[in-house]
Amino acid sequence: MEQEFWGTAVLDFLIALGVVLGGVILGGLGAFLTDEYPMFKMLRLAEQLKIWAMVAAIGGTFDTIRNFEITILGGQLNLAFQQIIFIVSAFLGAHIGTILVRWLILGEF
Amino acid sequence: MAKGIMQGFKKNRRCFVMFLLGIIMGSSFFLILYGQKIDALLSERNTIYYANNQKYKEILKLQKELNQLSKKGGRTQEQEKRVKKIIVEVEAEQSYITDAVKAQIEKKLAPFQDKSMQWISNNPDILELILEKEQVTIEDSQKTKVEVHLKYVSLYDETLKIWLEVQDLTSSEISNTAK
Repeated sequence: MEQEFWGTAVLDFLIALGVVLGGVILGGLGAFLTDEYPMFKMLRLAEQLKIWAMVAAIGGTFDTIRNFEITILGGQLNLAFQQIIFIVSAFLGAHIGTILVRWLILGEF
Repeated sequence: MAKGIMQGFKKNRRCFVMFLLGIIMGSSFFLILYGQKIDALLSERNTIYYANNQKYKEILKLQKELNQLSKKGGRTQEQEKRVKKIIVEVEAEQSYITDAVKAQIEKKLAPFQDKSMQWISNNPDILELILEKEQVTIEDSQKTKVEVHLKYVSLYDETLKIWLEVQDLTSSEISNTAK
């Protein structure tokens, strides 16, 4: 059970990170092909994709909210806390992705 | 042929996917390595485009201005006043001298017909050069010789008006001889 929890947490983290990094790089390529500033576009995409990366990592907002409802109303506060950890993990992944992109483009965090 | 290509794809699916991934990876590396340079070049290009555009606008504006000015110039040239009438007023002792001098001077001034009023007013010395101390011989029995002196010149409403004073040279010559 514990192993599954940490596995899911790491997966959420990496999915969020991958969504941000992949989205930013491919978005930058798209910008290059459509005659726009690739680096500027990448920076903007990094900010825009952050929230969507989190949502994609935890499997959609409605599912998570439903899980919250079920666990809290069912008195299983442990599970609710786990969900919070997953969300934080996804947030960290997305945030680190954004920081990496900022570091790559602006040279600062 | 299409069937053959499809079969080739099916056989080498993995290769095809790897090829696509390779393209994505390669272009991603290219973007990471040269992104800053591309941004700088694009920015430079946009600046040049902007400057070019501004220059083009300036050229159009100047062309428009030039056209307006040339139209205006043409119109002023068309509207430029020209001499349509030449009036010569002669002050002489005898009226026959007046008429004869008037006729001859008018003949002499004929080339001034249809000349620009502005040009004449800018160069009044030409009239003086032509008329001042001009000797006119009157075809009468005595062959009277007179000298013309320019008194006034006026230009108004397409008319060149000249006032002349006439000095009889024959009578002065006679008086000189008598002395």
